[in-house]
Amino acid sequence: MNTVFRGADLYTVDADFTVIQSGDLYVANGKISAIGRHLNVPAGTKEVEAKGMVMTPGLIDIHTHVGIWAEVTEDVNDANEYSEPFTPLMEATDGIHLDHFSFQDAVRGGVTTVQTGAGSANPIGGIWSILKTAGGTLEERLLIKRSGLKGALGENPKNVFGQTYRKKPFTRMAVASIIRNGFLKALPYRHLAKEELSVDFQELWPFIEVLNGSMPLRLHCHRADDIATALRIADEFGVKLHLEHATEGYMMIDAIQKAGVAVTLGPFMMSASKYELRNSTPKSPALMDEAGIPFAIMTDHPFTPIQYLSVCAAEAVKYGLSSETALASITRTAAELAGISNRVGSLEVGKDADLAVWTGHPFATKTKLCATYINGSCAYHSNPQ
Amino acid sequence: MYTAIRSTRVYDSDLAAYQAKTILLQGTSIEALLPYHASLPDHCVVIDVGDHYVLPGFIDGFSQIGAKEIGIRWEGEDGAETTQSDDLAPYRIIDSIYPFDAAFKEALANGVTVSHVASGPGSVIGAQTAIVKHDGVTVDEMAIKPSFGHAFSLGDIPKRTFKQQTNKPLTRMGIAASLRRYFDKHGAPANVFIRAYRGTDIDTALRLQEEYAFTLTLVHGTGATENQLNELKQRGASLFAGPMFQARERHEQQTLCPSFHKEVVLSGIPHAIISDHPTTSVRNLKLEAALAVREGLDEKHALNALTLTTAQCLGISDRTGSITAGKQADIAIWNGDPLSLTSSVTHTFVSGKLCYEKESEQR
Repeated sequence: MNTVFRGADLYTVDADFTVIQSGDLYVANGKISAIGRHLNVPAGTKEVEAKGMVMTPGLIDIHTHVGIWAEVTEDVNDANEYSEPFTPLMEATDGIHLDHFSFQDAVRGGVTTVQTGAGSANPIGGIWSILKTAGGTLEERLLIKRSGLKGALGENPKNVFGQTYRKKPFTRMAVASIIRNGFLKALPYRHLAKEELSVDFQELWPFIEVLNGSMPLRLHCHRADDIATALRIADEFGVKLHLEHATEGYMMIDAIQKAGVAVTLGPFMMSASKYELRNSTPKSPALMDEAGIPFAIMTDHPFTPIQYLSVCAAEAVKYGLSSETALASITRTAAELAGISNRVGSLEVGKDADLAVWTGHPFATKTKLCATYINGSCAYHSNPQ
Repeated sequence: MYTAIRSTRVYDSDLAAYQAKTILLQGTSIEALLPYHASLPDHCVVIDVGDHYVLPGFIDGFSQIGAKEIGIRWEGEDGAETTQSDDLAPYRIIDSIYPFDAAFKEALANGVTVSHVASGPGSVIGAQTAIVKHDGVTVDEMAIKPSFGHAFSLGDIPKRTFKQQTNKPLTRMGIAASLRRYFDKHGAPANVFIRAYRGTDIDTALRLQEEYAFTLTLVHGTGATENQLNELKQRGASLFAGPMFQARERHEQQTLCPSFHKEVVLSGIPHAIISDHPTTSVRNLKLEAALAVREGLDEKHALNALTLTTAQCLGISDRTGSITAGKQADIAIWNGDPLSLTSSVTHTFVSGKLCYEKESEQR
């Protein structure tokens, strides 16, 4: 079924942040195939009246635990494999529960794409994936099955293993050594294909993927010293690094700039619940923007519920970020940083028809989400027909 | 020595409207509310804030601020004693409040000037609560009421906490029994605050209220049915609702939704919006109200639930909660509509003293 949306203000979030007032958007075969004013569309196209509405690209959160963190039933949580501090073979796709309510929360908040996977208990936690929040089987929803090797520095591994289980790592140096160890062991085999690795060496494969540039290393780091350690490790092995959280990043902007890495910022809405968060501030996105460091904004769902992703971006505006950059940080920029901007992140011809329809600007208090579309199909509607 | 704050938008709580006024402050109090162009006494410092919004300082109706310090774990957690108190000396939250908790500064930077501080939810029998202003170096000088009510906690958290500590289950029957034991021994305190989310726990609170005839304030309450809301109304109870903006970690939190605030207001129960800081940050008190407005609560009730209604529920409306001559000068100035997601506070006064001013370099 092809659809044309008529008369909405289209916040395209293209390179020029073009806004088309009272524009039309034509969707064919799940893709955006025309944008403009007063479009002529083929006979038989479904017309959706969207006059007075605002349409944005479907929102994208590239740091969540949607579908894998149990939330209300913590005893069956699948996000952290606590048995070992080094678990590179854990794959998000083996834990994602497609019927989990967090996917419904996502579409209720206009979020159409999430990156999700292991939590931050382990220095090396596992492989993350990027997927759509509705529509079809897991395989059909995946944008990138292996979108990064997730690891964690700082307080969480120390707390889980050292403090709770009384085993390694107790200290930050041990956390770093566990991460390094994976790369050091993998280096001699980096020219091999996966099937050439013996059974005993399968754990090295994710590191080989990172060494060969087929996916980034994604390190959870809050404190400035942990961010510096992440940069140091990435530099030692010449691998692509993405900083996750970077809570104290604004205190060491030059080092992040010099390393040329991207960051996902957040969650910055809640109180500092532990020591390494005590310098957390919603000013961080504005300061990163001033320095020209590319960033996405995250909810870290469930820590801030996924349906409030737009509220997190609005909070950054409250603390000095421009409204355009804030919207980009949960759409276009997020897609670019995650390597999915060929498919999603803006309202442009050829992109997937992932759309959020709002009653006004998403950062306005009284704005409500009317509908969310994924690949042109309605994934949520406030007034189901 | 006088100070005057002049704005085209001073909030009148009775009319629920903004009006052009000049507020004359002297010492700790609001001396007078004058017409916008009124002539002012000699030696008066005039702060003209143009079209900025001038509101009473927000009151957080239920919070662990100062008792559960932010940016640190057990070392700063002093609001959650799960052992039994000595019979002769009930726990008093005032003995646990740290005035240098960074959260007090965050509160002031977000226009929140007063908190009703309560014990954490970990134990069924909590502590005597206190109402404090957010400026001072000893809790004694901050306290408006060093002992106001008594906090109790039902549901998943006391159950979980007990299990963690003793490896034995604590049932909802056991929770109710321990409350009865406490009330039988000590009599019911004035101003009972009961934390409860789930319908079963709200029923327990109502039953206990019937048995011991205390003044009940239900805290959180998100699972309340329409019948329960009607029952609470008939009992003269208040409902301190929220925070909806938080992670859902437990079964009883599945009902969290900002639309609940509107339901409470429609039922006619006195309604305050709370952060239960750090459950959600005190910074998000305004956000909580804004999300309620997004779900249909009218702005008057949203603002009242952060100011005058809360003050009335806490018995402090004679001194704070609105910009009224004779009340203490607890005032916040906002650079936009306070219920906008992107507006922020430029100045906060507590008892006439300027306690927060936005850095000019912070755009």
